[in-house]
Amino acid sequence: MKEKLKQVSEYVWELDKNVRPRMRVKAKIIASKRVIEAIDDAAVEQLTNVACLPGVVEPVIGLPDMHWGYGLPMGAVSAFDAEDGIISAGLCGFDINCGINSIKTNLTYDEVKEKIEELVPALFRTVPCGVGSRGKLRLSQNQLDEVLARGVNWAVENGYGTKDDMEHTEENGCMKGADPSKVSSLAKRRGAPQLGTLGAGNHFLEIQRVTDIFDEETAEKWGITDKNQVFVMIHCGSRGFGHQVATDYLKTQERAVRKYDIWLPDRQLACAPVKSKEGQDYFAAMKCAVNYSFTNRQVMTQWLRETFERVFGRSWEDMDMQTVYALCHNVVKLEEHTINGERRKVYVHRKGSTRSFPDLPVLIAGTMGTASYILKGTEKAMRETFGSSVHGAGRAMSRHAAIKKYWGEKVKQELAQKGITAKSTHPKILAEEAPQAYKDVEEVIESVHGAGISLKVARLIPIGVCKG
Amino acid sequence: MKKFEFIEDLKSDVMFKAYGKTLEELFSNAALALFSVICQVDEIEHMELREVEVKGEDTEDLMFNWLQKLIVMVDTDNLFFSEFEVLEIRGDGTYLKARCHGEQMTPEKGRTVVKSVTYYKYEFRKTMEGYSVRVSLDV
Repeated sequence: MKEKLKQVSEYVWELDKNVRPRMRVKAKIIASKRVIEAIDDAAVEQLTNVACLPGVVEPVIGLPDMHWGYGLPMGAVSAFDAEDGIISAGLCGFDINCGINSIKTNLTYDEVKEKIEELVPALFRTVPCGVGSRGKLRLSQNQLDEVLARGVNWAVENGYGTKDDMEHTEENGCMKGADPSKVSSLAKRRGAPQLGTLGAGNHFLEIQRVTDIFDEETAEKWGITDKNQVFVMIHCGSRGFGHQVATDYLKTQERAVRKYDIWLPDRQLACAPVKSKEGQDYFAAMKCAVNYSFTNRQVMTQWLRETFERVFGRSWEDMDMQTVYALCHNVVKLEEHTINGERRKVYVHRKGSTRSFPDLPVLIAGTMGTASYILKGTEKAMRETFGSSVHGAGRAMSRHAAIKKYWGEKVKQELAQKGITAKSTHPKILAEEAPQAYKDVEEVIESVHGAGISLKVARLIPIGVCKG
Repeated sequence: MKKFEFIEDLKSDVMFKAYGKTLEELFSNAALALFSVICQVDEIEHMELREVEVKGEDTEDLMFNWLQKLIVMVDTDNLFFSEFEVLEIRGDGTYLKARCHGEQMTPEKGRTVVKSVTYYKYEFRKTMEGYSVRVSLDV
């Protein structure tokens, strides 16, 4: 399929809707030539599958970090008409509101470096990391329902953050219309003990330092004032709760596909008409998982603040540990966009994609050995990508191949040589997540900056990493 | 006969193929493959026991539901399993009963979170030697 891509400008590539039968709209990829060369053909084909779904709005978009995923690539955006489109559990994926919180400090690299060997293990003890770790919160059924319906409001009322955190979270930390009665009791059983846990895989808690500031005015507005200023980043999602919501509704929507006679090019694109019960019930349950995940990261944000307090002997307010921003990477949103000059309501499905609204922060995670970025959203993203940008680097090698190729202790030593203190539950985790197993994030960032769908504000590199 | 093997197909996720002379062996080996992704399966001792019953529309669906059930049990029962005695599989593939052996989960013996079984290239086959199944996991 890749050979059918037509380059229309330096960073924009298109696939006509006649490249295969049944496509309703064209597909578009935002990427430099070098990035395009590295993208899997199978992932490109997946974009054309989505272009066949009912009510899809032109175009289906692949972003420069796109890589093959179940049904749709990670690093993709698609929008569906709010009247005759579909909502898809398959297009959102299993880890609903996998996302990032970025927390600033007024500490310098030198101040933190001195304590890093104490700080990383302390964070590791405070924030439960890895499969097999257990949460510290014991939520009753009612409390969990509160979290699902009210998100970060619950966290703030219970001492896990402030109103300021809420104001710096996408959707103010709570998607309205979340309905806990649309969530299975099994999802609740899985979710209740896991609130305030990091999980495993590519999820992490990272201490970072600023290496570059590209847009001083915006950076200052967001509290990024100095090179060598220390930040903290949390990357994780809705844990077993979100996985179960996705699993439950994939089954529901598989039945809906038969009931409403929807033709699917791939079984994993299970979906339901936007106005159907199967569509709206999923939307209401997905919002619960979004709110769970916002709350999960907020609780851990407060714990890491308390850990910094113990290690540095100062209050977190004194260290100015405010949330810069918190956002989703996997989500479905009902938004209004201008399409061919007309304002239209659409269900935007972002899978491995960040909202990129004008002048709001866009947070991009690197790997434990490479840079993360804080970007800002643009008007151009509103016109070109339904207000969306990338989410990270994407894997270049499977976990299995990485384990065979790298040795955990060696990865740890190599990171140490680069000034990064890494801690994981097991050395194998570090091998699986070796920086070399990921694509080059710098190339991805150059593509979105060059295309103008989000612009560079600051670059950060890790100095301490906790992996599950 | 090999119990299972990993297949290099997915960069961001995990695919395996499991084998068995009988259906019982196939279900047991597929579960072992799954848990070798979730935990350090060689280090898991048999201290806890769970009896599991699973239903399905046919054998293919039963396998999917069996693996999905075990993924959920890591969260609900806080256990890592390393041995699976499949006691009964109904001929039409609509019911399975098994005994799973393992121990309380600990991060030290964990590997990674498996989010779900998926239908990507999911394939259940009757072979000359018995049965095989190809499974992709979202991790």
